[in-house]
Amino acid sequence: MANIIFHSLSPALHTQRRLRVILPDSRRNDTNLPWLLLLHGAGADGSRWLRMTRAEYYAEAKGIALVLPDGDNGYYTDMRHGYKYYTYLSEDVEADVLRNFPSLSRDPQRRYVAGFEIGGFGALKYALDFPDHFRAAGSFAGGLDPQSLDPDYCVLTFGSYKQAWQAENDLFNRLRTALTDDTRLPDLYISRREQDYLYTVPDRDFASDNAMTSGHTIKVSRFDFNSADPWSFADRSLAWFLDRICPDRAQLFTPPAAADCPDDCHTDCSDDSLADCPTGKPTKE
Amino acid sequence: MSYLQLSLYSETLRLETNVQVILAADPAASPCLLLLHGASDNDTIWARWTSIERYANRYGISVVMPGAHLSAFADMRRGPAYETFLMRELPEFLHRHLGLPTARELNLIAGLSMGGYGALRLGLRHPERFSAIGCFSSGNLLVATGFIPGTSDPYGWISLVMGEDINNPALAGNPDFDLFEILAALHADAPLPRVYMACGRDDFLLNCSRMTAERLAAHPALPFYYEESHGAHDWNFWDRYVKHFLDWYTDTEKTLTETTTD
Repeated sequence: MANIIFHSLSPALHTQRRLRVILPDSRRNDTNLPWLLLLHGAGADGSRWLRMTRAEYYAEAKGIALVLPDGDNGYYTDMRHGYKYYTYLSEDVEADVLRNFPSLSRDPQRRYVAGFEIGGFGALKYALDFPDHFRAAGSFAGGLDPQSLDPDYCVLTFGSYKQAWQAENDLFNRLRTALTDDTRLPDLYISRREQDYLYTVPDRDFASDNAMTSGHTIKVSRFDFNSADPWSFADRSLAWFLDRICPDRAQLFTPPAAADCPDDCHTDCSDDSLADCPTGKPTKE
Repeated sequence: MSYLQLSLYSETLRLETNVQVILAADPAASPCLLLLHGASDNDTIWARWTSIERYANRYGISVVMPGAHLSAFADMRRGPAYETFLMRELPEFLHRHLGLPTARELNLIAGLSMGGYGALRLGLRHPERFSAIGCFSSGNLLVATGFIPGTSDPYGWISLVMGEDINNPALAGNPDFDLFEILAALHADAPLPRVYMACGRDDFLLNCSRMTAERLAAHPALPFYYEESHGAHDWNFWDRYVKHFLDWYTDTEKTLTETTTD
């Protein structure tokens, strides 16, 4: 794959920034490339996706381009005490892509956004703010609850816990509202950690029956999460997400072994949506 | 000689960070310059916009170019701790894994603009680490006429680096950030670095540079050299004057072919 590190001055951040762009070899002549804006987690940068997962390999297999910004520890937010990382994402990265990468598609049906941990928050927020820009969005162990943040970090980012729940950052409520009306939403793919509190707090579970019947597409999957190896979760989530958005090309995600399932179960769980599994068994690594 | 691009996770910063490194042929025995960028730059800027690698090769020195965003190379009151990273974590890594020297005699620090302030500040706060300091187009920024109380704070220096209220900042006299205070706190007994400063006569920071030079020159024990020239706050000046700095540091009659125009 062509692997580009693009340097430019970000007006929002007032500094030089790296933007990594990966272009698939299998579509070297394509000038309308589908592309995924892929956001890293806390403490990382765009290079970590490429180094710690098979992101580049998966993207080549699916014929999709990747765009990986560097968001520091900014929670992809215009920080209360810090720099404007959301403006950077939604304006500067967008402008850089439009100005310098003509082969990346301008068609919203060929645009995707996804991220890991704080990148999941950023991806969902971006998708909710600009639902017409993307066909699908993915959140992998998305840091959707600002209240679970380290207190000092929360103060720097949002000002306080209370302010973290202000309207534009309360993705739960925004999603719930959007799902009950006819708002156009990108298809949403949420991968959650086995241990995630989201699983045990039903009233915060936005992937509810309401969602499924409202005509919107939301798929939720749960994977084992080993805190000593977080990028393994990110890798599996990315493979699962890419299989969902590009189903016609090479399958990347391996469904769970049948040996763990009861003999009398006839459910096709290759979709790994929890709602389909009658035994309530989570998807295994 | 070789060129390295380093990306590493910093426990101090809690962030993946980038450093560009020019390695001398024998890094352990060669001088090592910690070279700092200006506001709005990053770790790649010196290598892109000057011929620093060519000069480093010529003088046989290693150069370490970290990226430090808008931190002024300090432990930000609201933000990552770049001073601790640069004075502790990074040199340990570079010494252990690239063989770069830790001895004072082989270490120098220099920078432009925000990095010039950073070099003076870090060099004078940690004089046991460096034998020479270079400051290009800068000085004690707290007394620069552009930075007066109640003005805007586009780089976040007042609110994020110093942690002050931008409407009523207490700048002058701050022992951590005011270079004159840091200068006054230098122990007379400790070995002190030699200091070099240069500024262009069309530079908007010329007054700040001169005021700082006056104070440094007046210090009874600090070897100090200052020069001004035609030029402004730009990369033509910095490409020329990093060479002048290296000439001064090596104190030889070496001349380089002038390839930059003004």
